[in-house]
Amino acid sequence: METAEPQTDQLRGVTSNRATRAASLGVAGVVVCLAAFSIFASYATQTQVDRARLSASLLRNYEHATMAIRAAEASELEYLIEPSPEHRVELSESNQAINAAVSEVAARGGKDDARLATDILALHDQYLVASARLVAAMAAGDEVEARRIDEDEGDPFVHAMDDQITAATNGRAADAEAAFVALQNTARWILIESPVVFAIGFGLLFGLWRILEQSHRAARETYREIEQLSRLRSEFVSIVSHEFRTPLTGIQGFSEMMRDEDMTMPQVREYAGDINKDARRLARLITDMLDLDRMESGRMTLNSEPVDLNLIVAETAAQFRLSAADHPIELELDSRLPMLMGDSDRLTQVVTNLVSNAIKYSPSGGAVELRTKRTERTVTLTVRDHGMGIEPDQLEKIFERYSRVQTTETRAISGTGLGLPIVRLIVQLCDGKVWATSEAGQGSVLHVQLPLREAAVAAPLAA
Amino acid sequence: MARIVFCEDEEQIRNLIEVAMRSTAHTIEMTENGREALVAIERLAPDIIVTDVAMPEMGGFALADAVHAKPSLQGIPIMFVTASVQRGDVAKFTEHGAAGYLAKPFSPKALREKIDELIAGL
Repeated sequence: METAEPQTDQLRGVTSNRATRAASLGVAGVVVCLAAFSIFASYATQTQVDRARLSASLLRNYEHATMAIRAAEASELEYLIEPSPEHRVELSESNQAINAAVSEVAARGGKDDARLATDILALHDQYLVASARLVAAMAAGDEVEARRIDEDEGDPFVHAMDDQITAATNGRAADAEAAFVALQNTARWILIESPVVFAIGFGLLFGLWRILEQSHRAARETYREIEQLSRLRSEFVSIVSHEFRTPLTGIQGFSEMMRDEDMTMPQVREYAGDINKDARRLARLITDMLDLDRMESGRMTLNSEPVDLNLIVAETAAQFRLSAADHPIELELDSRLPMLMGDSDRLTQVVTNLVSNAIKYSPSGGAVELRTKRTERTVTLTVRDHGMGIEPDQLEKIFERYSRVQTTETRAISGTGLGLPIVRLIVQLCDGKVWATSEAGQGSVLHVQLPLREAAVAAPLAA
Repeated sequence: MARIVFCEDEEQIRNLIEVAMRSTAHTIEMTENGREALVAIERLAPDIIVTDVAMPEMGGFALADAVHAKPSLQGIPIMFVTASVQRGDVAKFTEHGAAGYLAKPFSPKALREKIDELIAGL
């Protein structure tokens, strides 16, 4: 038999799964974003540091080249003043230094630096030619010609090289400055932005973690409920099986004896009566189970007809007086009770189940008191017994389908425990409510409260 | 002929057992729960005990344990008659010293045969 609870659990499970998936994706997304932010910040910083470092390094190379050119110019002047072999060597070394510094610029710089280096080296080659002619003139003792060569042929190349190097040096200095400014800006941005980004990120992670935690808790709760439901269902099947087997034992046993043994007609009637009693018990059990199933699945509708509740209570009491002599049934019926609109058969079932329950739970006998009472808007039926009573934590559970199911060997009360769940479902279908009160050892009282839906005709008081 | 104490809370099944045992020469004592049965057993010292398992006040297992605990009653074979005969239940019968068991619904003939088997083993 299907119940509403598992469907609710499944729905909750699906919702929980969706929330878990969404929260997990969220966590992954936040982690990826934070990682991307960190990688981007590191990459930007590193790139700008490299750029600044290169600019600074090239700037130094340019400065070396400038110094080498100026040193060469100075060596040339010194050689002109004193054309000693030492000064000639110095002049030669200065020229090599220019070559080395410019080659360094070409090797470590970019395309522009290489182009500039090529131009300077070309100028330097021409300068070297002039310098060689100057040395030759000096060697020939023609100092005038040497000075002329220095001024007219050497100096223009020196100045050209110096100008180009100076311009490039200035450019490189500007580049280095720009790189440092960019690096400073990036550092400032990271310093200000990253705490904000990480605060938002960790806030999101915390929020998503809470969602995941709740989702897990809900999943665990659902699992526990399903487990409990499964256990109760299994116990229910076990007890129902027991309840079926008991009347089946009578039916099988008596019918076999009727078949296999010689017996008198009174014996046949007696055994047939036993079989009939067991068959009716089985039928009642099946009817109860089907009723419960129909009510739980919402497939049962109630009739709406004028009903005399006092009469129903009185007739039910009369039936039980015959079958349960140990339990005197006392009535206290409110004569002001009007005819109600309701389903006579189902209300009879409610009263029957309540009285039957009261008798079952009073194994030592004792009176069962039935009372009806009219208030302004409701009609109340109470059934009091003087039996074993109900533990406080069981007062609500007795109306649950599997509540009284027990498989222990000391099974105090026979029956499937379907009576009170049926009562509750019928009363709920009538827009009423049912509850139990009990004091330890003082028996229990079951209360049914129905809305006062008066029919046109006033009810006669039942005897 | 043997003395047998039966213990069964369901009136219909008590009736069936009484009718089923009419054709035998055994003396039977019918009780409704373990407590009543224990009193009857102590009084009659029966040859065999046949008991239901799930009963009010005192169940069949508690009855079996009480019987086994009394030196004067030890050795009386106990047979459980129950509606619960799944694997775990059968293991419990052994735990509580069952000499045999019978599953409900049972036929009167099977009940008599099981009792005869127990008598043969005495």
